[in-house]
Amino acid sequence: MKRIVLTLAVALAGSTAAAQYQPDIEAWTIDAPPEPQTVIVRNATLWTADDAGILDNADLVIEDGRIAAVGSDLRAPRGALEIDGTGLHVTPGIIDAHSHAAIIGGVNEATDISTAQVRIEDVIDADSINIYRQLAGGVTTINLLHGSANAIGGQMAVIKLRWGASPRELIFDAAPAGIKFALGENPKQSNWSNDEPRYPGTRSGVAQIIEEKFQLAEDHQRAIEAMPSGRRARDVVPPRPDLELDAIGKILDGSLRIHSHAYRADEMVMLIEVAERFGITIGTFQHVLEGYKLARRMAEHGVGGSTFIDWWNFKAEASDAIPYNPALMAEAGVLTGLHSDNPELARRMNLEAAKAVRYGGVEPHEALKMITTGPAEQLGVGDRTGRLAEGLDADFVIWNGHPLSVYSRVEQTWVDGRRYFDRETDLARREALDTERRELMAMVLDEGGGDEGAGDDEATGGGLLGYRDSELAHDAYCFAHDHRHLHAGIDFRKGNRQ
Amino acid sequence: MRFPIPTFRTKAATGLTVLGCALLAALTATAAEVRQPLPDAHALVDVRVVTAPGEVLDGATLVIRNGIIEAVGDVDVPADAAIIEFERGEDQPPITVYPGLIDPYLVIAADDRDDAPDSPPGRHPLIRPDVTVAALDWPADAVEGHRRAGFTTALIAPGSGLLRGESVLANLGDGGLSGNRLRSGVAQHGHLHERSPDNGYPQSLMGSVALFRQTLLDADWQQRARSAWQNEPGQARPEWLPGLDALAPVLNGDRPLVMESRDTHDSLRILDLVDPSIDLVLIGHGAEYQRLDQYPRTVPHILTVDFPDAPDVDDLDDRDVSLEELRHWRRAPENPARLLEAGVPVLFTAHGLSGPTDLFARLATAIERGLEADQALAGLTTRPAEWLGIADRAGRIQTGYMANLVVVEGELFTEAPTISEVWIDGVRFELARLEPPAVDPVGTWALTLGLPGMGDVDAELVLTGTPSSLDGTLNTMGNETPLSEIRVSGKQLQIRIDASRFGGAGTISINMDIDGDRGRGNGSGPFGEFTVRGQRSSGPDEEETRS
Repeated sequence: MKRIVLTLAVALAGSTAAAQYQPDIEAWTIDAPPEPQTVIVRNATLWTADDAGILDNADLVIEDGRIAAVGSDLRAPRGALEIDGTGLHVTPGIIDAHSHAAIIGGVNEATDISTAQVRIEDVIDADSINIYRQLAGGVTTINLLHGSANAIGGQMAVIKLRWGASPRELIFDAAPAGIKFALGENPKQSNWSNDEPRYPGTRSGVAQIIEEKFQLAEDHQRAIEAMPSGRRARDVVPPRPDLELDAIGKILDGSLRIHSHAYRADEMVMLIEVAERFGITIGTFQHVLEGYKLARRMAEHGVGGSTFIDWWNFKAEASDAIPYNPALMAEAGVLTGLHSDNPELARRMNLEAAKAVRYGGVEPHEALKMITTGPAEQLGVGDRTGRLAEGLDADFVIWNGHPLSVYSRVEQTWVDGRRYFDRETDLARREALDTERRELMAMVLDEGGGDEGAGDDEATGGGLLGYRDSELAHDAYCFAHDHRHLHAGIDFRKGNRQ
Repeated sequence: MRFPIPTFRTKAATGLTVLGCALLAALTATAAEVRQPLPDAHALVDVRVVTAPGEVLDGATLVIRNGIIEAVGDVDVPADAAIIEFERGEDQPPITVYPGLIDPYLVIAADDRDDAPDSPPGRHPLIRPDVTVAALDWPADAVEGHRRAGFTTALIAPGSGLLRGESVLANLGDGGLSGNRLRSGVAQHGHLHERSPDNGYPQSLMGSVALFRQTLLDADWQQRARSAWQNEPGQARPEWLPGLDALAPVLNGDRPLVMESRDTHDSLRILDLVDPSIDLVLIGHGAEYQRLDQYPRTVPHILTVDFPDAPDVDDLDDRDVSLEELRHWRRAPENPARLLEAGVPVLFTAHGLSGPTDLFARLATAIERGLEADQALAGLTTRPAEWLGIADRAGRIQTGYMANLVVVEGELFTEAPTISEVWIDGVRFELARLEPPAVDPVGTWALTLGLPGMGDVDAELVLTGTPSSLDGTLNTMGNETPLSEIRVSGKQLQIRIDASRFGGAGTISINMDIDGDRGRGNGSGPFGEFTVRGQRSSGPDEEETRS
């Protein structure tokens, strides 16, 4: 269905190019918000996403970008920034373990069955308006993943939504490195209209190629280790460097964690078995639609489950998806999280958590953990973010009501003890932006009104409905192949300024 | 006793003699031609000379001999020099001689090269660091176009692939590469935004980055592996990766790596990707002002001045124009000044413009918006000369330097400077032979343009000012288009119009000979050649002026 929507969008873009929405705020114009030495939120309902549970009429103290205290009747030094939390709810910042929201120049390197050498880190789009929009939805950390076009995809990048920062400054340095894997229809190219089919074309072939790549990486690693050190090394032909096998070698030594796109139970069992043969633990299964069928096996292996709550039946291998999946996985002891895989959905992750309450009767506080603590631990940053607990990064959200309610909205989003989103500031800024726009437009009109025809896609930095190509990309249906066809009709790259 | 042999000898000797005489005759003729007293010494007299940015000599004499500047200033004209004088009217700006401009980035379009990627094993079609600019690649059209814009020297770079190959530094005279080459292997060139042909790897930007990174590692490995095998033959011979040896001087820091950048993120990506030990130069994207603090002061920028046109704004309530676009339109012309203020070395290129002559209007805007004119000149003369290692022979007008000059009526950095000639290696290229105005074309003209296949098109030409300083518009099909260049030479009116106003690329030029209130001439543009007839409906009451 999503594909139909996109096709429609492409058709629309052709006819209504003039009606594109262009965001007025640009990341490069934003300076990092100040970091108050001390902040105290008083008398709020704190959802700690920790053992402390939900604390009513409680205080939260932030010092130097970290959470200093959570409790009642806390004191703060003079000069602390005071926020009256009466009637407000505070949660940890939301963490999205599966995003493609701020990636430039393609989400998939879909050419080979393994492209372990490519890195999302190289193509982070710090100017993507999605970063700001997701902050406005209470998201503070996202995992930018390669797509699912190949069995071994690219290396991921976990970023904090420090809107305005450079790509390098966005990177969450505490996050362990990870890599995307994919199983099922996408890597075996089920739905590709590809004239030159690639090996493998079956699920068993995917299993075989992963195992073969692991072995090649082991051989490569052995060759590197066999190199003499010091002066003698100069007379020995060294093994040729291989970024792909280096990366896969890191999977085997545990320094690169696997986050594998997977739908069906049988293929997940397959990957668990391959991993166990090589003595490694898989980080997460992503989407994991049939996770409920093998939840105990997952818990036993120690792999997390990062899932949709109610995306279902969009392709053959998705027909067994049920909205009770997160509840059932969590019940079996799987480290469970909900993800977006979609920059628009990512702004309403609290409602995804709410659905876990509706389907499966998950306690609201436990449901909140599925978008905070759960994904934080899946990404290996559980000791830095995802809870309101002493010593953690001050990544938190202030809501005007119950965080799982459709009627609630985000008032403020803080990252590292800095207020990156503030609803009031945003509303006030709109006026300033409008003034700036009018002043500039007056200048253009003074100079003769600008060129006829200069307002087309290319000149406005438009792209499809004002979105960059990366913002349209998501991976549940593997758009790797579709992209190529879409490109024939419309050049997504027009979205980027020349 | 007679033997046939002497007879034979005689015959042979005769044959040889005939042949020898013919050769000698030919040689003599050639030598005689060369020895013709073609004066290879010239003296440009009574000119204003900008010898280098900020250094001006008025009423100077400039002596050129054998392609080299012999003297400049208040010097005597040598007896054997051909004297070149410029006839100027009193209200005309002085003839000014500038050092020939140097374009540090003239790319040979991929289409100009016969480079169908035919990749043998071990070679990726996008990895072409060993490509060089060969004599056959000489971009004659671009060279001529550049010459018209006052360029006398350029770094000519191959334009295809992730790693594109080595550039050659050459003057822009006639005679192709062999007549103009200064230095080969000047820099290695790259660009991250290329995708593999035939849907091969890579098809994404991150794939291109990974391939680029792997290639630099491979090139380094090849040096080490070959050297190890050379030292110790008793081991398996390493695989040979063709082309990558060309990267050795880049990795050693001996040869600059020039990377074309598309936008801010691209620049940051390249700065991240390329090790600081490599001598990196960026071809700027024009929006460096956006994250200025992220650019190291050690990385020179070759800036395009392809500033955006004003957005199409209907009225103040027009919501179809983004603030992003408006801001960039407003700030782009400040970009060069901002980079210089920040201490980043800036060079300028005509790359990215629809034509190299557009450079001046753009730089004039940049100067209006804070760029010092001397910095504009330095970015096209002394600074590229330094970067390219020819500061001891190019970029200035100085004794002993190559006689590469631009001759301009008045100032160079104006909206539309009149570049009347360039000199390259002492050879004169007259671009527009200008005579003092002999007619006054001011007034309103009804023009009929006879376009091939389109029939006649009516246009109204409105000219104001004086013959030596004209202003005007061309009104046709409901469009009022300002003229980018207008002048009168003798009895001829010469106008130029930016063709993009009519949806074409380049320039439309019209030359019309004026006889009283009638005009007749021709024009050319992206739509082809056409005829022009004109009739003045109102104009100066005076008769023709003479100056």
